[in-house]
Amino acid sequence: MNPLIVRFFAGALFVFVSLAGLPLVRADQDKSPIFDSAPKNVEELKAIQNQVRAVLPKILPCTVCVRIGAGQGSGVIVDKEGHVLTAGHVSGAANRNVILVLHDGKTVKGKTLGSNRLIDSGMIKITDKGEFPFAPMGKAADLKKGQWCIAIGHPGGFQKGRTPVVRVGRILSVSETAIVTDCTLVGGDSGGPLFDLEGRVIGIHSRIGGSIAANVHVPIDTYHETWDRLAEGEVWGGRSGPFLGVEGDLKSKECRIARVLPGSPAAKGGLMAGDIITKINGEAIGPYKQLGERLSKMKPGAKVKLEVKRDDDIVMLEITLGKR
Amino acid sequence: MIGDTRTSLRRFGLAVILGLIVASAGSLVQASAPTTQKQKSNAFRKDSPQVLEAFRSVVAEPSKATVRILADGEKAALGAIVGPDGWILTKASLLNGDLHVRLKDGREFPARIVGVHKHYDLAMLKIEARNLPTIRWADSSVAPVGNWVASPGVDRLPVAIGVVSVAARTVPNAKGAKPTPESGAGFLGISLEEAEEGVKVSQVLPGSGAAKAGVRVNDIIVSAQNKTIDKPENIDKPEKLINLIMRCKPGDSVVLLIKRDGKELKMQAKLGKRPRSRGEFQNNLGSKLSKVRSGFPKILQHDSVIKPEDCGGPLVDLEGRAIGINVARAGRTESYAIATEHILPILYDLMSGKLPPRQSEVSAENLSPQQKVEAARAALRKAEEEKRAADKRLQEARQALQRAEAEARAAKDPTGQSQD
Repeated sequence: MNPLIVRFFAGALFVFVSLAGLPLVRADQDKSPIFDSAPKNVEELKAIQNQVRAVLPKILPCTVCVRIGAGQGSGVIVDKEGHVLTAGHVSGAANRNVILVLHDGKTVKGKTLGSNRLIDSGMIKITDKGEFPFAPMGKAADLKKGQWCIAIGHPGGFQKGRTPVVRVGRILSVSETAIVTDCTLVGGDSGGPLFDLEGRVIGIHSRIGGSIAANVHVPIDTYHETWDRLAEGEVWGGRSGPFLGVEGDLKSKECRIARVLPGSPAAKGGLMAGDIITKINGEAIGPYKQLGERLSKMKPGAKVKLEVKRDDDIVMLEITLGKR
Repeated sequence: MIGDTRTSLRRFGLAVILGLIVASAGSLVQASAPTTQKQKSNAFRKDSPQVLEAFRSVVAEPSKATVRILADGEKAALGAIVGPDGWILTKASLLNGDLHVRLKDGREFPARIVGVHKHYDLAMLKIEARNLPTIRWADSSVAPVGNWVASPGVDRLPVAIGVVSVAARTVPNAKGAKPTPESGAGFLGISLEEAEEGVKVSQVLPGSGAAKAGVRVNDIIVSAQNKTIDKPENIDKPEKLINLIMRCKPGDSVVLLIKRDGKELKMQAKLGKRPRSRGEFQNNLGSKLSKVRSGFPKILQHDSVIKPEDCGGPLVDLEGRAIGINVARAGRTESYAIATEHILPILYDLMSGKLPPRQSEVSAENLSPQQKVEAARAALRKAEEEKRAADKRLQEARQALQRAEAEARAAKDPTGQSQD
C-alpha cells in the first residue's frame, strides 16, 4: 500500500562491489516449464538457479538508482537511447532533474518524462551522452501464476559497497493494473525492475501491503501501450479532489492510521500514526476504507472535524483538507 | 546522513502519493482478500510446501548438525554444531535465561556460554556430548548472488529458503551489532529552533502532549525535567531537549519552564508515542525482525524470510554446505548471515576462552523489565553455581590440608603407626 520511494540523502561516495568474478553458467535457451511451477527436486532447483545466474550479469547492470531532489528510488534502462522505466510516484512531474547511479557507481544526469499517476508508471531519460546497458521489455499478458521471477532494486536507497539487491520469487496474481509477487520490496525499491527468468522486464516495483507476499508491480504492458505519452512527458491519471495525507491499517476493523505523511494536512492538523478516527464531522466511522469514501465527497479547503482515539485519550482535531 | 525528510517529502508531491494509495487499494484487495483465493495463491508462493519439499534432500545432512536452543524452556534460537564434542555456534543476543540444546535426534543437554563475539553477535555454547555430526563449512563464494540458500532447522524441511541477494561484504562504518531502539520512545510534539536563551518552539502538533499542556509557537523553553526520574535540566540547544525526550517513555510527564512575553510559565506535558519513521514502518510490514539486526561489520545478505528465533543456525547452499551462520532478520527484504570466511578466523577464539562471555555483553543495554529479571536470575544462577564450585574447592582444599597435616605428623612419627 505504501509507495516505496525512500526519502533520505545518502553519502556522496560510491563504491560498487564488482560482479566480474561471477562464473557464468550457460542458460538453457528453451523456455522450460520448470520456470512456471514448483520445483520437484534438487535438479529442478538447480535448473532455476542456473537460469537466474545466467541472466543476472545481463540485467544487474541495467538496474539504476534514481535520485530526484532528496528522494531515492530505482529504475531500469530499456533502450540504447537511455530511456529508463520507473514508478510514477518516483518520477512525478515532467522535466525534473534526475541523478542516476549506474551499476558501477558512476552517476549520469537525466530528466523526468511522463507518468500515469493512476497505474503508477513513470519514465526518465538519461540526458548525458554514452552507451548504457539495457534490458529488453517483455509482455505481462504472457505471465502465469506461479511463474518464477527476479526483482532487483535499491531497498533503503543506494548503499555504498552494496550491489543492487536481488530477490527471487513467484507471481501470485496478474491483472491489467498490477502484478503481485512474493519478491519482497521496501522503500527505495520503487521503480526497480521485475524480470522473468529470460531477463525481460515484466513489471516495475510500485507498492507493498501488510503481508510479506503483497508486493505490487506495475505491469510492463502499460509502458508498451502508453510509451509515446510517457516519452513526450505527459502526466495524467491524477485525481483532483481533497487530500488528507494518511495511510491506513487495512487489517483493522477501526479506522486506524498507520502513517501520516509529513507536511500533509493531516500532519499539520495533528493526526498521528496509531490514531483511531472514530467520528468525522460528528458521524461515526468504521474501517479505514470508509475514510476515503467520506473524504471523496468533500472539497479541498473544507474543514473536517475528527474525533480521534489516541491511547486512552479522546482527541478532537480540526483539519483543513488540501488538494491532490 | 539522513536528510530533512519533511522538506523532501513536500518536494516530492504528496498528492501523487495518496492518489497512488487510493488507486492501488483495489488491486491489493483483489490479490489477498477472498480466503479461497488466498489459500490458492499460497500454493504459488516461493516458500509453499511443494517448494520446501524440493529442499528436503538439501537439508537432510545439515539439519543433523543443527540444534534448537531453548532459553528457560522457550524456543530462543537455532545453532550449528561446529565441533563433534559439543561445540555449538549461535546468535549471542538470543541467549537470555537457562540454556538447553535439543539435537535433531531428540536428546537434550544443558548448555553454557563459553565465548562471545560481540561485533558479530555470535556465541559459542558447550554441551557435554560426543561424536556429534558437524556442519560442513564452505567459503561463501561457492554460492554467488542468485544461488539458492536454505536454513535448516531440526525438522525434515528447512525453516526458510531464499537466494543470495548480495555477496558477503564489509559494511562501511559498522561499529558492531547492537539492539535497534524501539519506536516507543517519548514524543512531545513540537519543532524547535535555536534561540538566544533556551530554545524556541517553531511548531506545535495539534493534539500532542505539548499542545494539551498549552505550549505555543514562539514560546522559549529554558528548562525541562522528566518528572519521574531526572532533575530539571537547562535547555540551551534543541539537541538537549531532544535527548531528554528520547530518554523518556510514552506516558511520562515532562515539566517545562517556558518564557512567554517576559513571563515565566511552568507547564506539564504528558508524552505520547514517537511515531515510526517511514522506513521503519515498511521494514516491519509482514515479518518480525530481530532485535539485534544492525551494526554487523561484515554480512552476507539473502532474501529468506526467517523468524528471529530461527536465527543462529547454518545457512547452506544446494550442496548442503554451510556458507555462513544466520544472524538476523534485518528488514522486509533482507536476512543477514555471517559468511564462513569471516567466522573461521574467530572460531578457535570463541572456543578457547579468548573471547569470554561477560554478563554485560550477553545481556546488552536496552533490556525490557522482563529481560532484566531474566538476566538477574541468570546472574544469580551463575553466582550460585560459582559458589557451589567454590564450596567444593574449599572442601577439597580442607581435605587436602588435613591429609597433608596427617602426612606431616606421620613423617615425624617414626613408628608410622598413625598411618592407615
